[in-house]
Amino acid sequence: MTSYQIDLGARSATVGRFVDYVRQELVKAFLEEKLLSGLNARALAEKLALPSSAINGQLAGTRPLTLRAIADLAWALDRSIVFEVRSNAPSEGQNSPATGSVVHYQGSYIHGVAATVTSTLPPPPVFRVACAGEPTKSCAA
Amino acid sequence: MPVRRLYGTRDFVEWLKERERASEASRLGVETSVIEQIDTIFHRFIVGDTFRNRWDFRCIKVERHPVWEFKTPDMRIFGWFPAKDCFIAAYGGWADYIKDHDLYRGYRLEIRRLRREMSLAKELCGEGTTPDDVISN
Repeated sequence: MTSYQIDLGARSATVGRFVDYVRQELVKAFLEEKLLSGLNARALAEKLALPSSAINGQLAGTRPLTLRAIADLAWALDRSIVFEVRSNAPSEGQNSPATGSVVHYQGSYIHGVAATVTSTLPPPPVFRVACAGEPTKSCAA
Repeated sequence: MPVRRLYGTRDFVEWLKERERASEASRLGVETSVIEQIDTIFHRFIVGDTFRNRWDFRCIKVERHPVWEFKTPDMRIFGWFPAKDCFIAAYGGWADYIKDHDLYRGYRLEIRRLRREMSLAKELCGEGTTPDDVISN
């Protein structure tokens, strides 16, 4: 089993995941309000005196999310923001966090075709089933 | 928490390595680089994070054995779900280029061709066309 890890480093992984996390929280709040009160991107845009495309872009991640934009959106959604920078000191028994997506390769499906498959998880456990009087079979869970 | 699996073709992994080597900035001017965006969407998928239809992924066309795309601000990653919570990534590309040149049909056909060449059993080509068919949230 060969593996490949996206080695972008702890710094980049932290940045990428944090930026996305903030956006996800805003999308979640927006969708909750949409469900509760029927709010849509146009109404949000009107409240903020911005074009709908700006709101859609901020929520979809295709426009930068400045601190001001985050605060604006939270205000327009009638939400408060909780922000905390915590100590990252490891405690005893804590696992080390992964710093990149790990990819595992698993053999080719067919010779001559670029079809080697990979997985971000360890290979699945292999069960060996041996019934009396039958040849041994194995299958991956 | 759902157990999710992510697979990719050899060509896709080569494409991924190239994105990592190239270390490209966002063409949209957003805060994250291309490889950070890809790492994040893969990370969210495999840790069982909520995946929202149309925001994070979508079915390209409702059909038998449909092709799905994962979405990041700058990138699109095409593949299919041979089983629920199991995605095989086959192709990736810049979102703006794909949209400008309307390449969705082309990627769909390429994936169908790839699956044929792999002699993949029909049950491994995925049937589900709704988000709940392919991802547990």
